[in-house]
Amino acid sequence: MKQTTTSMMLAVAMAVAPVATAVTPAVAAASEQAAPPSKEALDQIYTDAQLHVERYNGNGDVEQLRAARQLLDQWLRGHAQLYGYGEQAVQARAPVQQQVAAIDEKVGEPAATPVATPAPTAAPAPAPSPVNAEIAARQRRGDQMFTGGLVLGAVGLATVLFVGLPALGLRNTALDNAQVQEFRADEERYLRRARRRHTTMIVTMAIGGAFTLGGITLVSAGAATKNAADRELALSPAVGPTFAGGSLRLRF
Amino acid sequence: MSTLRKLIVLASLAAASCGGAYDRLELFVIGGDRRTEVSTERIRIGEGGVVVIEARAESDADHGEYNGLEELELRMSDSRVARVRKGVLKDSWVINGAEPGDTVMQIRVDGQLEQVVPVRVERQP
Repeated sequence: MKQTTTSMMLAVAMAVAPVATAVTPAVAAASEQAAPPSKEALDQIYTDAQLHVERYNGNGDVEQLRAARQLLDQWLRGHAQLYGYGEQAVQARAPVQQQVAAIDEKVGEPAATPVATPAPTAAPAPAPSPVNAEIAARQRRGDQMFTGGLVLGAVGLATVLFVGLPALGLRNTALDNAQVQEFRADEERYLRRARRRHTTMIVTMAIGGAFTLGGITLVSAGAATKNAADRELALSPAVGPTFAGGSLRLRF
Repeated sequence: MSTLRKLIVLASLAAASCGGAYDRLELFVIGGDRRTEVSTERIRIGEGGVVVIEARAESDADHGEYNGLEELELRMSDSRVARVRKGVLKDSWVINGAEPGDTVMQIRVDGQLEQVVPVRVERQP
């Protein structure tokens, strides 16, 4: 496939494609006045670029490659707007930049200037990407729920084990003592004691049980929230800072 | 704090409702006048007479046993005819015939009326 494609490339008349816009922070800043694209929009752009490449593979039309290149430029700008210029984001864009360079080589154009990493003193610190900040917030919330659930469950269990159950034992002891009394006054004294301990047992079992159930619920909810956020972070690599385009390789 | 009190009241009610259901009263005469008739069907006592009984509430085994915390109370509807008081000994009650007439003795467990027993105080010759 590669040899065929290369020979096809040689036979095609090369037109000068517009110079790829280097996605520097300055350029991105200029276009940042528009709202950054959504993750889904970036996905669509990349998919469209792949479609153009596939059409080129089918009919050899260089214009398809140029269209793909423009879309990839657009993707690179959008990705920089959305994810910034951190190390991970730059690494994520690198494969797509390589694809752009491969297209340039095939259409005989000068290789695009790679996306510049801003000098530490030149550019202001990039703002945290909106997608990652939201996911991080959900992860924190999940952590808080998980920890809170553990604490609540532990308090509930401790209440049941160290207050409720002993109260039950003491109630039974008072009842046993009441049974063996001969005089009503003595019996009633032990019965009053048993009734107090019975009430304590009921109240602490109820509170402890509720806390334990609440703790289990919070732990489950927190774990689910965290897992969902982790999964989303793993899925966003389609256009995320760590695996840009990892699942949509351009084949030439 | 009021929330905590409500919680405690609810818990007490829940505790009370966890007990057994009333089935009958076990009655034993342990002292007093011989010319008396005491049972859960009726009580017959002479004017000025006294009888000491031992009374225990028994639960219905099909609906759960009493846990020992239940409170048995015997009350006469008309204390001018007859009176009933707690005795000195455990589970004991003292019934007095005050003046000739009819009344009923209420049997209450944990404040709930479970049974009534007709009481007749007869004039002594």
